Amino acid sequence: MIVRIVPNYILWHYTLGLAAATAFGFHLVRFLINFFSLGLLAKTLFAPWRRLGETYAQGLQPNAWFETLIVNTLMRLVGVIIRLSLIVIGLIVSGLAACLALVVVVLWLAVPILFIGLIVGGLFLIFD
Amino acid sequence: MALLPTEIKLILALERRFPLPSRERFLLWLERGLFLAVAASFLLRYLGFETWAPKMLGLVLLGLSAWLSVSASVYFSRFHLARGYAETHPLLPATRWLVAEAVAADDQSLLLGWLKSPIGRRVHERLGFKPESVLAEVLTGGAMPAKPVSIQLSQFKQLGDLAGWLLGAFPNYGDWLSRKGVAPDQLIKAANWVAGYQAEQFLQSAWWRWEYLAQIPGLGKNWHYGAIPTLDNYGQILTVPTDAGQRSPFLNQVKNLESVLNRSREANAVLVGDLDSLLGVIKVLAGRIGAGVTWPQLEGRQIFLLETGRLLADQSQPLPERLLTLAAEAAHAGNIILVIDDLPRLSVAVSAAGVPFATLLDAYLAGRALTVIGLADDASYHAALEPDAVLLNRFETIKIESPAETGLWPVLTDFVLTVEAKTGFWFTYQAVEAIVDNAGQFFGGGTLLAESLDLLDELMGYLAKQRLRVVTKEAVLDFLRVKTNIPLGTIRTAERDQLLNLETTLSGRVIGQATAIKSVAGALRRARAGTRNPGRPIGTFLFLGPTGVGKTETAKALSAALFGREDALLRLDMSEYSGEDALERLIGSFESGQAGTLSTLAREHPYGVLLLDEFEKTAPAVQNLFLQILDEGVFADMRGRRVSLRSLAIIATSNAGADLIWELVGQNQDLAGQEKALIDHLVKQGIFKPELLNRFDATVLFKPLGDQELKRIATLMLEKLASRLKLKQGIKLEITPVLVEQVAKRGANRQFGARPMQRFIQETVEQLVADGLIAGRIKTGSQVSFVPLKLATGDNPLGLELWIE
Repeated sequence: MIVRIVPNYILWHYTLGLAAATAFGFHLVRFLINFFSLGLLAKTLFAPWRRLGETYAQGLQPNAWFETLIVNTLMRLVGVIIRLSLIVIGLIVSGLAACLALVVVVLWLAVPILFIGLIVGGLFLIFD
Repeated sequence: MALLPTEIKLILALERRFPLPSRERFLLWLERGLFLAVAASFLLRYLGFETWAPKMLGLVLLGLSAWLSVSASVYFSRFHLARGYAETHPLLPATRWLVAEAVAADDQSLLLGWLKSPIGRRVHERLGFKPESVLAEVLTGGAMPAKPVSIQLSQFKQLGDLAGWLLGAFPNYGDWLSRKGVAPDQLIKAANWVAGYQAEQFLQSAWWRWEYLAQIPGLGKNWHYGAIPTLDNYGQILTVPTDAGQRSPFLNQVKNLESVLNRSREANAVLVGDLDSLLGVIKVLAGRIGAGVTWPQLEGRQIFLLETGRLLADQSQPLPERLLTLAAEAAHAGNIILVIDDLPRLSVAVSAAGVPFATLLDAYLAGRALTVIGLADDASYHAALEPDAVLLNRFETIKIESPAETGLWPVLTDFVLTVEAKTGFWFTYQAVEAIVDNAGQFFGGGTLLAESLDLLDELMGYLAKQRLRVVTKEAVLDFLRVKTNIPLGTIRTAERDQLLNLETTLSGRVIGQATAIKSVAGALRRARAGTRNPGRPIGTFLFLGPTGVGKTETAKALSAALFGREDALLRLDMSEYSGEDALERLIGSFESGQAGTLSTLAREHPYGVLLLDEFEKTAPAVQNLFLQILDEGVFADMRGRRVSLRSLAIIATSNAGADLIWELVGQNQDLAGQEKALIDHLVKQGIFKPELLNRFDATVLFKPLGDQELKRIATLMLEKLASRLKLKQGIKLEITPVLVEQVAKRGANRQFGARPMQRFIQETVEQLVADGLIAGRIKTGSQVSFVPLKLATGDNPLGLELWIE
């Protein structure tokens, strides 16, 4: 059975298997982008942190209006700082994952050669 | 017969020869070995064994090549299994993966393939067989089909279809299963169950699939929504695992709810039904929102479960004001779906504070600012919400039906698998089936789902004490037998004898009513043989006859025979329920909050014999209630909660028609064939409605007692007294024919039958013995009897006097 399965496996390795390994790389990066909510955080970058803030007073009260403006701007600033931090971390991790995915695909292509290389190398070291 | 492509056969052969879990375990050990070998190689170099270090490194490289090849085979299998289990495999476009697995193990015979395949073996294991013995036993009948067959695997949409087909094509297989007590339907359902969970368990662990990764919740999703610090004091955010709810019995109802919540205005709903089902619906909704499979409007929403009790208990601020604060906070947060766990109660409380609920929150309810789901049980919905037109204008009412048995299966089996994973118990298919079958019948107070889960919970405790690991149908029935005292499961020898001799046992207590006894015993045997309808009470009988002829005694005897004890007899004097408030007193009153007698009795004593004395005297409304009880074995109490009487035998007694019975007896007619005449008489007189009489399993006529029967009853009663005297005082009472005759003659009468006899014995025989004891004439060891009076006296109703040896 094992002898019969090898050609079958090799065919799978370079067709469906390769496609699956590549798809996994894409999925991993897509997952991390989603996990760090990069799109959502970019869209809501300037939104107040947890909707905290004050409502502007009715009528002409410049002092109160400016006070509210300052508080609300501060809340937006807090939001920007926290969101930007997560965006930066997310970008770094996703970038690393993309590199890793590339390495995985390259290694995948090399697996049969690697397998033979390990056996030859092993035997060489033992019997040298 | 080439039903499968060679590639698929090879993949499945690899899986049979080296199952995936064992390869994964091997990899784990290999990795540990390699780590040690690398460490050893460095150590050898450090210790100066220069020639051995490279050889050790060579071994490491060979080990790595082995690791690489096994890992590659693992990915190969995982890929194919994940593709096959998830939907359709690219190499098998029209065939279910598990159907292919089930036939791939043998080229010649589909039956052999099925019996040898891992999935087939697992199905047989779930049916309580040892897989290795199945093959040998079934094959004694041959492995070839009865007649030549031509099939396509694509015709089997589920594994159960294949199993069903095998039963038809290989009759010896079906015969063998029947001999082992497995019905065809059970094999099919067990196959579908095993196939379902096997695929699901694999897919849940397949972390590399996008479907799995997409379900992991992300960071910062809620940062642009507001916080809810005040709301947090009165409930919590519902957190459930993300799940598209495809297997939930509530899926359609949840989809209906989602479309209401997706509206651009008035996106509120009130869910009406039992609380367990309502919470089930809310959990499925939460799971679906988390899984991202619902409407875009609901994406990112969180469900906040507001506990009405906690809200009403806080008196720090007037209720309307507090509710407005909470609504404002929830609306400001932007992603809250507010679920009120008891909307009728909150609505009544707010209205009592001066403002109607709907008017108070109208600004929020009218638009999309806030989404509210109210939960309500049937009765309180009708009482408190239905009359409120303004509120119902803003809320869409959705009636939630509790899942029936079919919908219950996926939920319960999921729960069983969770229990197995947590506790190490292992359930056979028949055990799970017994839980579903019996939950409604023996627990029956709430929904079938809640009852089944309760039953499973209690069962776990029982099994832990019994130190049982494998849960079989017998174990479930044993537990129910212990809990309810109702004989269940296989009929054992002693019980079989008891059932077959039931007439003799009952005749020992009930004198002169052979026809009545035969009718009751027959119904009992039907109940025990499992041929009765589980959706009705154990048995329902109407006993008709004059007073004092053994109706109540039969009920007591039945209670002793069915439940092994007379105190399982629950007695209601129905003449007390003849007024206008009769129904309310029986089922309870919503207005006064008083629980009903019948509801309480049935809840506290779910198993036993319910005796309804003088049934003809009860109010028509109560008779109507019993129309439903006799038919379905359940009724709804004042709060709309289901009360089950399905584990009760119900006996209604009545002496209506006694005059006709006397008349028939006077004409020397046999009562056995006169039920119809008597029923017509009762209907004509307007005592019972014909539809009520038709609902009883049997209408049993009790005939008036003749002299001989009265003498036998007198003998029985005197024997009881004699045995009591012997036991407690050491006195021997001789029961002479003259004593029996006097008691039968003077202790009974036409109007009350044998009923006054007990009292007569107390006042005469017992009194004379007591007098003798006090006077010191009777001592321990004395033998006493009664002889005719030498001188007739007016103050001796027995007409006999005491004679002491």
